[in-house]
Parts: sequence; C-alpha cells; structure tokens
Amino acid sequence: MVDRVIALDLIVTTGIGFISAYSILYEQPALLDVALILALIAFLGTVAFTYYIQQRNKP
Amino acid sequence: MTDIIVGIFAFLGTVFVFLAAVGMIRMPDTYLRISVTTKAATLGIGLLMLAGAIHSNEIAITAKALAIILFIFLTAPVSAHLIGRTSYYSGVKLWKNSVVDDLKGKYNAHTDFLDSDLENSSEKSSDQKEPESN
Repeated sequence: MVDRVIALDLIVTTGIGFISAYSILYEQPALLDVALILALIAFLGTVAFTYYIQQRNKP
Repeated sequence: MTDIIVGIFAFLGTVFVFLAAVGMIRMPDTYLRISVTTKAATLGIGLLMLAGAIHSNEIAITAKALAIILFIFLTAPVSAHLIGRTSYYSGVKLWKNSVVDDLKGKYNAHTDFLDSDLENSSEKSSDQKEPESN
C-alpha cells in the first residue's frame, strides 16, 4: 500500500522532468508553470495519502 | 557553448531519474525504495531544471526554474520522512538482510506511543504513557 504512494510520487516527479525537457526542446517556457503546480500537488497528495493510511491503520 | 552545458546537465538529470526508476523496481524493501527514489529523483529534477534555467536567457524563466528547484529540495525530504513514518507505524516489515532497526521495541501500536528517550528506554515500560514536562 505504501509502495504505491512512493510510486505515485516518482511518477509525478518524472512528469516534472518530462515537462522541463519539453520546454527546453520546443522553446516553450510557459510550461514551467505547469511543473511548479505539479510539484505542489504532488507534495500535498503525498501528505494526504500518508495521513489517511495512518488513520486507517490506527486501532 | 551554452548548448553543450545544457546538454550535459540534461543528460545527467535524465540518467539520475532513470536510476531512480530502476531502483524503484529493483530494491527489495519499502524503506530502501524511499531512499533511492527521493535522492536520485531530486538530484535528477534539479539538474534538468538547471538545464532549463541555463537555456533561457530571460531572468523571469530562470527565477521560475530556480523556484521549482528550491521547492522540490524543500518538500522531497519532508514527504520521504512522512512515507517512512507511516510505513513503520502501519507495520511494514524490514528486509530480511537489514542490519539495524533503531526503533525496535520502542513503538507501541496499541497506545500509539513512541518511546524516544535513549537512557530510560530499557527500564520504562512502553505502555506507560506519561506526558513529558518540556
């Protein structure tokens, strides 16, 4: 269960890398805004997932 | 000259992100996966964003890329710590060849109490839950 959260974090981080490489390759630096928002949402999603997993496993 | 530097940084960043993806598959344990994913992916994204910052000559785009680097460097250790804490609390086993477990016997799952006192940890029983004064 926790491995999936790690994998989701890695997928979003790899997506940020894709967006950065795309913006370099096609000269579209406006896409870096998307990368910034994606990084923020990834952190919030990780915090929310860990909070709810810990709440679920609490006796 | 700038293109060569951008190419080197982007190549190194891609290699590190690829190593993070390989480590996600190859590592035998949740905790080792957290370790390799956080460090390698953070360094890879930092190098890729640095390549983007060098590639553009405008200062606004460079500042935006540096802001993304700063944000990821701040939040990646926090999220890794949260995932590791949650996985230890919810009872994920360590790998069978792991050498040391510093929290063994210090966490009581029923009272949700983590005994972190180093000196008195042996004599104080773990189910007695007294609030510390400081």
